[in-house]
Amino acid sequence: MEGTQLNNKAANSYNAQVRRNIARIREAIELARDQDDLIRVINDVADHRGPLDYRDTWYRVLFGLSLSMVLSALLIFVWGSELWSWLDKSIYFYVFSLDLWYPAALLVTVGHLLEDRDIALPFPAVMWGRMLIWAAIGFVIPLNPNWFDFFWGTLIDSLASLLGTEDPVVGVLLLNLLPAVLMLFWLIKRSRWRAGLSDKIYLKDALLNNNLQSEAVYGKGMAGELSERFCEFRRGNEQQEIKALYKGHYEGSQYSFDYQLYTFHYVVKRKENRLGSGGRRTTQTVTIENNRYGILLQFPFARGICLSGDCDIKPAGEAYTGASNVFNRVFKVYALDPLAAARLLTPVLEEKLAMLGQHFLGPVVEIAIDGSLCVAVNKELLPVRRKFGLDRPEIFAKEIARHTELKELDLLLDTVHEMMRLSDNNFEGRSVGEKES
Amino acid sequence: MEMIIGIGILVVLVGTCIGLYNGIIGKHNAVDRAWASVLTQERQKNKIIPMVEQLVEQYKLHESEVLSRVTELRSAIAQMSEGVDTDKLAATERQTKQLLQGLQVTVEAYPELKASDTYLRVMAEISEQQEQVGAAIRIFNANVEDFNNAIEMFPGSMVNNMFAHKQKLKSFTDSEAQAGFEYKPNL
Repeated sequence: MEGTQLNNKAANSYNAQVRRNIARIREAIELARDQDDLIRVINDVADHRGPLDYRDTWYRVLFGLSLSMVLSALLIFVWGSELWSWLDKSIYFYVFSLDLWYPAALLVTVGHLLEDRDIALPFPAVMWGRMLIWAAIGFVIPLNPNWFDFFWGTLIDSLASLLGTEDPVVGVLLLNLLPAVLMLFWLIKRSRWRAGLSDKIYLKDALLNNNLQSEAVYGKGMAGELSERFCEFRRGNEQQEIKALYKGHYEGSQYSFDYQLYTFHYVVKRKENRLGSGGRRTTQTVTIENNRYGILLQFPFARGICLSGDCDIKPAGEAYTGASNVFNRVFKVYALDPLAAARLLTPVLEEKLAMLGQHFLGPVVEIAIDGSLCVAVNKELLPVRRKFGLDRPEIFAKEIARHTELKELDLLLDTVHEMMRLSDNNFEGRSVGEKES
Repeated sequence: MEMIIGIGILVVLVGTCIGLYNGIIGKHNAVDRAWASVLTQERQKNKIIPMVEQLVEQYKLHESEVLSRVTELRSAIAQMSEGVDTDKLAATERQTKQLLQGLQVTVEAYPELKASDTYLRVMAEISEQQEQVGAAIRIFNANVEDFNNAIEMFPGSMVNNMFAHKQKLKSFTDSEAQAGFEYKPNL
């Protein structure tokens, strides 16, 4: 976790301390074993002695310089000689002096980034002194007689040629645009680290409250294996992967069972004809990213049945119609043996399953031939719905102290429990997972 | 041109009429199907009758009224016909309630029976079956409502009067439960 230290005395910059402190908080969240541990982490943040907010003055200056350079280049590119002569000269001077100060700005940034990671020049002891050395090295570079030709002739020209022009102003614009945009997002992300860790705490609390444990994800491979068993996973033509996987245990009044909670990510790529300017038809490739959420478990009471509330999948088997109009509006039923569907879909179960249609879009209940069950929906089952965060630790601790209910997940699990309860035989021997009365 | 527009309108009208007619027939069949589901669930009670009789034999409950209740329930189930008859359904439900009450009263005098695994399983099965019958009746009533809406609401009412000629169906009501309320909706 600790960075390489060239000089132990010097390598203790303010931002490096902040970075270490945040890393410790993150580690404490990951190691938390119960809700009390999480509340302790939040309270530690509230009473933290060391610094927790980055000082990013230099990065902001650099962002300002890059942005001003982008705007100046745009002014010259769009208006050129139409600008007032004094403004024209100033901007031209500013833009075309870039080769003189750019290396110094770049090296000071590198110096700051290294200091943030505990890597510092061995002297002098104060940080601004070390930054002066970086800047001095940067100002020496333009003294090289080949520098001017390299900067304008090679670097800026190459960048300009990317847009098919030889105008150096375009090269300057590109050279500054990308760092400015990246710097902006990076600075925003850095200043909002509390939001990210608050989400992490909330999620961890939800996992602990609901007996869920994170499992190793073997994304594309697992999605491929599941698509062999369930048509629910035969979606998308570009990419399919399991993005998140958790292990859980459900304790019902009559049955208890283990299950896996997953997030399935898939990408659909298709060509669309669009009417462009001048009435010309153009073909564009559209990429749509989708997520499906669901649970997987063993269901020993039926097999080869798919209840599909989503027209995007094509289940195998014969169509079966339930007795309830409400149920039939939510699900289309396909079964390898329609009698098995008739036995499973009792009136109570039709009512319970129809309820899924009121809470979720595109619900799919699929029992594979091997007796494994998948219940999938479009709604996130492990959502982060926190009201407060580490920026208000006292109230956030109270929020975390409460039980985090996963209502959507509970509804799915209760429905599966009802499926088990209503599918078993009260006069036959007990099956695995059934509780003693 | 006018002719094409006229034919277009005619095609749309005929298509709408066919769609509405098929909708009415489909909803009528759904009511029929839901009623069949109610009957199936009621007949499932035949499964538990031998178990109750076994309990009567095993624990010598001959002096109690359980046996007569079993006979009455069996007869009520046998009388339920294929056609929609909510009165016979109500009678069967009444007999089931009476058998349950009779069983509960009787087992108070037989603590050994009350604790027996067979009794607990029979009670669990009866309770599950009653739950299924309740759901089947709710589904039947919801389908009846769907059908009645289809034949009474415009333009379905027009298509029904012209082609389908279906009558409004009565949903199932529990007259015994209704008698407990002073309030009567003025429907």
